[in-house]
Amino acid sequence: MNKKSTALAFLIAVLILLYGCGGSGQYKIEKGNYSDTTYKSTGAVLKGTYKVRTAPDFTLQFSGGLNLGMAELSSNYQNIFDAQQFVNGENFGVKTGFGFMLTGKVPLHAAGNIRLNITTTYNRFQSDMFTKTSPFGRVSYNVFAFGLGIENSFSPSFKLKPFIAVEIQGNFISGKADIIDEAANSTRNVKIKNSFRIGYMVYSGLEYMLSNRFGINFGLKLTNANQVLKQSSIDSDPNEVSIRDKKVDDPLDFAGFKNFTFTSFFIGFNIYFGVKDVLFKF
Amino acid sequence: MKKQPVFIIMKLPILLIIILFAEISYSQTVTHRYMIVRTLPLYTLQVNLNYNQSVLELAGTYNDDVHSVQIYEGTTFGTDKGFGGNIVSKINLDRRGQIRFTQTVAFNRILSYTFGKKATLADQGHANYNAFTGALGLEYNFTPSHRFKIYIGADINASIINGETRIWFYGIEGQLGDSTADYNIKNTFRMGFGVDFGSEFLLNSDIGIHVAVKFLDLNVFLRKSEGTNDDAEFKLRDADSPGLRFAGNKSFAFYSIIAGASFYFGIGEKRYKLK
Repeated sequence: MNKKSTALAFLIAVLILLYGCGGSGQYKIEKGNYSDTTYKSTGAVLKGTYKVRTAPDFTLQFSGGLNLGMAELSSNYQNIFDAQQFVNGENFGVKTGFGFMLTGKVPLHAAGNIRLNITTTYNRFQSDMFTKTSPFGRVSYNVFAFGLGIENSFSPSFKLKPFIAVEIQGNFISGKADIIDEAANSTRNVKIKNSFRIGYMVYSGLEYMLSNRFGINFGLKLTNANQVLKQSSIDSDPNEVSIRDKKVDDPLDFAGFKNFTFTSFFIGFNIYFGVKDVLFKF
Repeated sequence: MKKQPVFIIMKLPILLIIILFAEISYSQTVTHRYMIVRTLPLYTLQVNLNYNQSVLELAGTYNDDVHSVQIYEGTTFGTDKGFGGNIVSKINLDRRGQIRFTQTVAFNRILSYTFGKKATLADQGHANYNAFTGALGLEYNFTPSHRFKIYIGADINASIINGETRIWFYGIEGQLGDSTADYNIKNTFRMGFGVDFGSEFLLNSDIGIHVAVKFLDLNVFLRKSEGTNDDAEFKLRDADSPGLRFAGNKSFAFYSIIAGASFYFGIGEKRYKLK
């Protein structure tokens, strides 16, 4: 990524974070001396109070969900694993997966809009998830990631808290592949060694507080696990290789420019610490 | 009887004190605090631009390069990214404004190389599609009377899809030359669905800005593959048909990242006096 693209991406991320920053704006408090509104009573009993909460001092969020691969993580061949595309390095040979995420959220100021997020995630992708068994074999990946990022919580003192966040992640990607050669009636077992890559995650969603201590969450996440440090190294054992995600000029099995990028639909629960009630009386 | 001037002079300070007290009394009038709450819009109109990222079988540009053979064999549609625009109208269906009926008209163009083709790429083929879409749906707004409105929605859509593709025959059916052939995809009617998650932010009571993410699958229903292998012009081939080129069971699915302006009608204000 060149400097111009990086600066543009940074600007967009900041604008997205600042979008709606400063509260949900359901009400504003104003001083004045207006005459009381006259109205004809309908007999309805009006609620004389309005309750809001303080922003949590700390939030622990656990979520899990399904992953849908994009670009080279979206293998397409009659909905089954295509060993030839995988060996040629065209794609990673998988399309769908699942994952879990544990996030600690620490507010960086009293209002609680901007939060520092510390995240650990695990994602797994399998070529035979939701698809027919392929006669050409199977491939699977495990991705462990640790991330640090910034979140904007639009309404930290409300029950419903929409948020948007960006994170930089360190990823450890490993896996294994069984490549079946039907003609030769043989199977090649390949181990994909732990490979370290740096990527990013952008996610947005909603938290809904069921009580001052507990809530639920759901949202959508975009991850690119290998934005930086792509490489295709030549390994001593041809059946024990690194992830090989960089384009190389000389033919090398599994090597090609590949982005490990996917979207996730997640749902989970939140545990809140330090939430207190604030009551307005009319 | 005529009053003495001394008497008038004695009364003057009393008058001044009365005026002063009256002024102080006036300035000590209690100023109340009010909570001002905005009412929900009766009608919302949105004008948006889209950035599209193809997924599932609509995606087919591995290693930044299109793969003609996969388009020709009907494995993928062979695109990567795209752009578009839409107009959305939202009508409240309940008094609290949480359920809204949405009507959408959209245009999306999805291409193999949206930002130009890199000089180092090998395949000389490409595939570009246009989709004109109309949709009807429902939306749940979590915060209808807030300045910041969060919603999720779903719709059923109907689309006219057309396009064109160029196939590079190197390595296809034993050919080693650099020959190419162009094919036209005629207007094809398909139906599908969309789900979206987004937010609106009111700048004032009349106008706001809007961002959302939408997943669209435009050909869930009515998939078909027709014609012969000699055709250079044919309708979208998105169902399995053994032996027919370009035919294969394929989803025309993509994500749209949407941003635009919202125009609100019928927003008022309510004041609640705080004790």
